[in-house]
Amino acid sequence: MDSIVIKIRDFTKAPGPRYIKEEVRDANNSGERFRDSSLYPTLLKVITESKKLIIDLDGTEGYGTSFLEESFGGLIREKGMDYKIIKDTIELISKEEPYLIDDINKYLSDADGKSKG
Amino acid sequence: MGKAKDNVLWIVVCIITFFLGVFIANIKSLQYFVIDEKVDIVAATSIIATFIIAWYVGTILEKRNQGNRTQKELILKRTEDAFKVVEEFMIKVNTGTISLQEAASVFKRINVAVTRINEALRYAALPSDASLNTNIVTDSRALKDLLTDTPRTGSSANSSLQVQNGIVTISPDRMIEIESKCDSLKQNILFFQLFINKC
Repeated sequence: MDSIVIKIRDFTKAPGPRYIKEEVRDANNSGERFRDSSLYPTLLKVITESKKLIIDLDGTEGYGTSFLEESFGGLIREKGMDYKIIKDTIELISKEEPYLIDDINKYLSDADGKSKG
Repeated sequence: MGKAKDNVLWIVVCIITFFLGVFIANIKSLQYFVIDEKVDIVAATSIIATFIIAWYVGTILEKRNQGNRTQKELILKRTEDAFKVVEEFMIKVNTGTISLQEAASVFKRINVAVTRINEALRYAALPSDASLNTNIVTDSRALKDLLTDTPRTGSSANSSLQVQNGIVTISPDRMIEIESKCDSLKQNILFFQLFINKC
Protein backbone atom coordinates (compact mmCIF):
# COMPACT_ATOMS: atom_id res chain seq x y z
CA MET A 1 0.00 0.00 0.00
CA ASP A 2 1.30 3.48 -0.90
CA SER A 3 1.91 5.88 1.92
CA ILE A 4 2.38 9.55 2.71
CA VAL A 5 4.75 10.65 5.47
CA ILE A 6 4.22 13.56 7.83
CA LYS A 7 7.25 14.60 9.83
CA ILE A 8 6.07 16.73 12.73
CA ARG A 9 9.51 18.41 12.81
CA ASP A 10 8.66 19.88 9.40
CA PHE A 11 5.63 21.58 11.00
CA THR A 12 7.58 22.74 14.06
CA LYS A 13 10.79 21.82 15.85
CA ALA A 14 9.27 23.03 19.13
CA PRO A 15 5.71 21.75 19.56
CA GLY A 16 3.73 24.15 21.73
CA PRO A 17 0.45 24.37 23.60
CA ARG A 18 -2.98 22.83 22.97
CA TYR A 19 -4.74 25.79 21.35
CA ILE A 20 -3.87 28.48 18.83
CA LYS A 21 -4.98 31.12 21.35
CA GLU A 22 -2.33 29.81 23.79
CA GLU A 23 0.58 30.10 21.33
CA VAL A 24 3.43 32.50 21.84
CA ARG A 25 3.03 35.21 19.16
CA ASP A 26 4.15 34.00 15.69
CA ALA A 27 5.17 30.59 17.06
CA ASN A 28 2.42 28.79 15.10
CA ASN A 29 3.11 25.58 16.97
CA SER A 30 -0.05 24.47 18.77
CA GLY A 31 -1.64 21.05 18.54
CA GLU A 32 -4.82 22.62 17.22
CA ARG A 33 -2.93 24.32 14.39
CA PHE A 34 -1.03 21.15 13.52
CA ARG A 35 -4.25 19.13 13.44
CA ASP A 36 -6.19 21.64 11.36
CA SER A 37 -3.48 22.67 8.91
CA SER A 38 -1.60 19.43 8.39
CA LEU A 39 -2.82 16.25 10.08
CA TYR A 40 -6.54 16.37 9.33
CA PRO A 41 -6.32 17.47 5.64
CA THR A 42 -3.59 14.91 4.95
CA LEU A 43 -5.56 12.18 6.71
CA LEU A 44 -8.63 12.95 4.59
CA LYS A 45 -6.48 12.80 1.44
CA VAL A 46 -4.91 9.43 2.27
CA ILE A 47 -8.29 7.94 3.20
CA THR A 48 -9.71 9.08 -0.16
CA GLU A 49 -6.72 7.65 -2.00
CA SER A 50 -6.69 4.44 0.08
CA LYS A 51 -3.15 5.07 1.26
CA LYS A 52 -1.40 4.86 4.61
CA LEU A 53 -0.34 7.90 6.65
CA ILE A 54 3.01 7.50 8.38
CA ILE A 55 3.60 10.03 11.14
CA ASP A 56 7.21 10.50 12.21
CA LEU A 57 7.39 11.89 15.75
CA ASP A 58 11.19 12.23 16.01
CA GLY A 59 13.38 15.31 15.62
CA THR A 60 11.49 17.78 17.79
CA GLU A 61 12.50 19.29 21.13
CA GLY A 62 9.76 17.28 22.86
CA TYR A 63 5.98 17.17 23.09
CA GLY A 64 3.73 18.48 25.79
CA THR A 65 0.84 16.14 26.59
CA SER A 66 -1.74 18.71 25.47
CA PHE A 67 -0.16 19.13 22.00
CA LEU A 68 -0.46 15.43 21.20
CA GLU A 69 -3.86 15.03 22.84
CA GLU A 70 -5.34 17.94 20.90
CA SER A 71 -3.73 16.84 17.63
CA PHE A 72 -4.89 13.23 17.74
CA GLY A 73 -7.73 13.08 20.26
CA GLY A 74 -9.09 16.20 18.57
CA LEU A 75 -9.50 14.28 15.28
CA ILE A 76 -12.36 12.37 16.94
CA ARG A 77 -13.62 15.05 19.34
CA GLU A 78 -13.49 18.09 17.05
CA LYS A 79 -13.50 16.64 13.55
CA GLY A 80 -15.82 13.71 14.20
CA MET A 81 -13.55 11.17 12.59
CA ASP A 82 -14.03 7.45 13.16
CA TYR A 83 -11.61 5.80 15.61
CA LYS A 84 -11.24 2.61 13.59
CA ILE A 85 -10.59 4.45 10.32
CA ILE A 86 -7.89 6.54 12.01
CA LYS A 87 -6.29 3.44 13.55
CA ASP A 88 -6.36 1.59 10.23
CA THR A 89 -4.90 4.54 8.32
CA ILE A 90 -2.13 5.96 10.46
CA GLU A 91 1.17 4.45 11.43
CA LEU A 92 3.16 6.19 14.15
CA ILE A 93 6.94 5.93 14.29
CA SER A 94 9.42 7.13 16.91
CA LYS A 95 12.88 5.82 17.65
CA GLU A 96 13.65 8.56 20.17
CA GLU A 97 10.52 8.25 22.30
CA PRO A 98 8.70 5.02 21.40
CA TYR A 99 6.30 5.36 24.37
CA LEU A 100 4.68 8.33 22.58
CA ILE A 101 2.99 5.80 20.31
CA ASP A 102 1.21 4.26 23.32
CA ASP A 103 0.32 7.75 24.57
CA ILE A 104 -1.27 8.73 21.24
CA ASN A 105 -3.18 5.45 21.01
CA LYS A 106 -4.53 6.16 24.50
CA TYR A 107 -5.60 9.71 23.51
CA LEU A 108 -7.43 8.25 20.51
CA SER A 109 -9.21 5.54 22.52
CA ASP A 110 -10.09 7.99 25.31
CA ALA A 111 -11.57 10.45 22.81
CA ASP A 112 -13.47 7.60 21.15
CA GLY A 113 -14.80 6.42 24.54
CA LYS A 114 -15.97 9.93 25.44
CA SER A 115 -17.59 10.49 22.04
CA LYS A 116 -19.62 7.32 22.47
CA GLY A 117 -20.25 7.72 26.19
CA MET B 1 56.47 1.82 20.34
CA GLY B 2 55.64 0.99 23.97
CA LYS B 3 55.03 -2.66 23.12
CA ALA B 4 58.40 -2.97 21.32
CA LYS B 5 60.10 -1.46 24.38
CA ASP B 6 58.32 -3.98 26.64
CA ASN B 7 59.47 -6.86 24.41
CA VAL B 8 63.10 -5.71 24.52
CA LEU B 9 62.90 -5.39 28.32
CA TRP B 10 61.37 -8.87 28.53
CA ILE B 11 64.19 -10.37 26.41
CA VAL B 12 66.83 -8.61 28.54
CA VAL B 13 65.24 -10.00 31.74
CA CYS B 14 65.23 -13.53 30.24
CA ILE B 15 68.92 -13.26 29.23
CA ILE B 16 69.95 -11.95 32.67
CA THR B 17 67.95 -14.72 34.38
CA PHE B 18 69.55 -17.35 32.16
CA PHE B 19 73.11 -16.17 32.87
CA LEU B 20 72.29 -15.84 36.57
CA GLY B 21 71.19 -19.49 36.51
CA VAL B 22 74.38 -20.54 34.74
CA PHE B 23 76.47 -18.54 37.23
CA ILE B 24 74.74 -20.08 40.26
CA ALA B 25 75.06 -23.58 38.76
CA ASN B 26 78.84 -23.10 38.46
CA ILE B 27 79.37 -22.03 42.05
CA LYS B 28 80.76 -24.99 43.85
CA SER B 29 80.49 -23.68 47.38
CA LEU B 30 78.60 -20.79 48.81
CA GLN B 31 78.78 -20.03 52.49
CA TYR B 32 75.50 -20.80 54.39
CA PHE B 33 73.80 -22.08 51.20
CA VAL B 34 73.45 -25.54 49.72
CA ILE B 35 73.01 -25.83 45.97
CA ASP B 36 71.25 -29.01 44.94
CA GLU B 37 71.87 -30.17 41.40
CA LYS B 38 68.56 -32.06 41.35
CA VAL B 39 65.37 -30.20 40.52
CA ASP B 40 62.22 -30.88 42.54
CA ILE B 41 59.48 -31.05 39.85
CA VAL B 42 56.72 -30.08 42.32
CA ALA B 43 58.62 -27.00 43.48
CA ALA B 44 59.47 -26.06 39.88
CA THR B 45 55.84 -26.43 38.79
CA SER B 46 54.71 -24.39 41.79
CA ILE B 47 57.13 -21.57 40.89
CA ILE B 48 55.97 -21.54 37.25
CA ALA B 49 52.28 -21.59 38.31
CA THR B 50 52.87 -18.75 40.78
CA PHE B 51 54.60 -16.76 38.08
CA ILE B 52 51.76 -17.29 35.58
CA ILE B 53 49.07 -16.37 38.15
CA ALA B 54 50.98 -13.25 39.18
CA TRP B 55 51.29 -12.22 35.56
CA TYR B 56 47.58 -12.95 34.88
CA VAL B 57 46.36 -11.00 37.92
CA GLY B 58 48.80 -8.17 37.37
CA THR B 59 48.08 -7.56 33.72
CA ILE B 60 44.96 -9.23 32.28
CA LEU B 61 42.61 -8.93 35.29
CA GLU B 62 43.79 -5.46 36.26
CA LYS B 63 43.36 -4.25 32.68
CA ARG B 64 39.84 -5.73 32.55
CA ASN B 65 38.89 -4.15 35.90
CA GLN B 66 40.30 -0.80 34.81
CA GLY B 67 38.25 -1.00 31.60
CA ASN B 68 35.06 -1.81 33.55
CA ARG B 69 35.70 1.04 35.99
CA THR B 70 36.15 3.54 33.17
CA GLN B 71 33.00 2.36 31.39
CA LYS B 72 30.96 2.58 34.58
CA GLU B 73 32.30 6.04 35.38
CA LEU B 74 31.30 7.28 31.92
CA ILE B 75 27.81 5.79 32.25
CA LEU B 76 27.38 7.13 35.79
CA LYS B 77 28.34 10.58 34.52
CA ARG B 78 25.41 10.39 32.08
CA THR B 79 22.99 9.48 34.88
CA GLU B 80 24.35 12.35 37.00
CA ASP B 81 23.64 14.69 34.09
CA ALA B 82 20.03 13.45 33.95
CA PHE B 83 19.72 13.97 37.72
CA LYS B 84 21.04 17.53 37.39
CA VAL B 85 18.55 18.28 34.60
CA VAL B 86 15.68 17.27 36.93
CA GLU B 87 17.06 19.29 39.85
CA GLU B 88 17.66 22.45 37.82
CA PHE B 89 14.25 22.14 36.19
CA MET B 90 12.51 21.77 39.55
CA ILE B 91 14.08 25.01 40.78
CA LYS B 92 12.27 26.75 37.91
CA VAL B 93 9.02 24.84 38.49
CA ASN B 94 9.02 25.90 42.15
CA THR B 95 8.55 29.52 41.05
CA GLY B 96 5.01 28.51 40.04
CA THR B 97 5.38 29.17 36.32
CA ILE B 98 7.26 27.36 33.59
CA SER B 99 7.59 27.52 29.82
CA LEU B 100 5.47 24.73 28.29
CA GLN B 101 8.09 24.04 25.63
CA GLU B 102 10.88 23.88 28.18
CA ALA B 103 8.91 21.36 30.25
CA ALA B 104 8.31 19.18 27.19
CA SER B 105 11.96 19.34 26.14
CA VAL B 106 13.28 18.50 29.64
CA PHE B 107 11.27 15.28 29.80
CA LYS B 108 12.37 14.30 26.35
CA ARG B 109 16.01 14.82 27.43
CA ILE B 110 15.51 12.63 30.51
CA ASN B 111 13.78 9.81 28.63
CA VAL B 112 16.24 9.87 25.74
CA ALA B 113 19.12 9.88 28.27
CA VAL B 114 17.72 6.71 29.90
CA THR B 115 17.47 5.04 26.46
CA ARG B 116 21.05 6.05 25.60
CA ILE B 117 22.37 4.85 28.97
CA ASN B 118 20.77 1.45 28.37
CA GLU B 119 22.34 1.30 24.92
CA ALA B 120 25.70 2.11 26.52
CA LEU B 121 25.18 -0.65 29.14
CA ARG B 122 24.46 -3.14 26.36
CA TYR B 123 27.50 -1.95 24.38
CA ALA B 124 29.71 -2.34 27.47
CA ALA B 125 28.17 -5.80 28.09
CA LEU B 126 27.02 -4.60 31.53
CA PRO B 127 23.67 -5.82 32.90
CA SER B 128 20.62 -3.54 32.95
CA ASP B 129 17.52 -3.62 35.12
CA ALA B 130 14.29 -3.30 33.15
CA SER B 131 12.17 -2.42 36.20
CA LEU B 132 14.45 0.50 37.14
CA ASN B 133 14.26 1.86 33.57
CA THR B 134 10.49 1.49 33.55
CA ASN B 135 10.19 3.31 36.90
CA ILE B 136 12.22 6.28 35.65
CA VAL B 137 10.34 6.58 32.36
CA THR B 138 6.96 6.13 34.12
CA ASP B 139 7.76 8.87 36.66
CA SER B 140 9.07 11.16 33.94
CA ARG B 141 5.93 10.68 31.81
CA ALA B 142 3.68 11.23 34.83
CA LEU B 143 5.56 14.45 35.65
CA LYS B 144 5.23 15.59 32.04
CA ASP B 145 1.45 15.03 32.23
CA LEU B 146 1.26 16.95 35.52
CA LEU B 147 3.05 19.90 33.90
CA THR B 148 1.89 19.92 30.29
CA ASP B 149 -1.59 18.37 30.17
CA THR B 150 -3.30 21.75 30.03
CA PRO B 151 -7.12 21.84 30.24
CA ARG B 152 -9.44 21.59 27.25
CA THR B 153 -11.95 24.36 26.63
CA GLY B 154 -15.17 23.57 28.44
CA SER B 155 -13.51 20.90 30.52
CA SER B 156 -14.41 21.26 34.20
CA ALA B 157 -11.48 19.15 35.31
CA ASN B 158 -7.86 20.20 35.43
CA SER B 159 -7.93 23.85 36.33
CA SER B 160 -4.66 23.18 38.11
CA LEU B 161 -2.76 24.47 35.08
CA GLN B 162 -3.36 27.68 33.17
CA VAL B 163 -1.48 28.47 29.99
CA GLN B 164 -0.98 31.83 28.35
CA ASN B 165 1.65 32.85 25.80
CA GLY B 166 3.31 29.47 26.19
CA ILE B 167 3.76 29.90 29.95
CA VAL B 168 2.09 27.46 32.33
CA THR B 169 0.93 28.67 35.74
CA ILE B 170 0.75 25.88 38.32
CA SER B 171 -1.75 25.81 41.20
CA PRO B 172 -0.45 25.10 44.74
CA ASP B 173 -2.29 21.73 44.84
CA ARG B 174 -0.72 20.66 41.55
CA MET B 175 2.67 21.81 42.83
CA ILE B 176 2.44 19.35 45.73
CA GLU B 177 1.73 16.50 43.29
CA ILE B 178 4.63 17.61 41.07
CA GLU B 179 7.08 17.77 43.99
CA SER B 180 6.07 14.31 45.16
CA LYS B 181 6.48 12.81 41.69
CA CYS B 182 9.79 14.61 41.24
CA ASP B 183 11.12 13.11 44.50
CA SER B 184 10.11 9.69 43.23
CA LEU B 185 11.90 10.32 39.91
CA LYS B 186 15.08 11.46 41.66
CA GLN B 187 14.95 8.42 43.94
CA ASN B 188 14.63 6.09 40.96
CA ILE B 189 17.55 7.78 39.18
CA LEU B 190 19.58 7.25 42.40
CA PHE B 191 18.63 3.54 42.45
CA PHE B 192 19.70 3.35 38.81
CA GLN B 193 23.09 4.88 39.73
CA LEU B 194 23.52 2.43 42.62
CA PHE B 195 22.66 -0.45 40.32
CA ILE B 196 25.26 0.62 37.73
CA ASN B 197 27.84 1.10 40.47
CA LYS B 198 27.27 -2.48 41.65
CA CYS B 199 27.76 -3.98 38.16
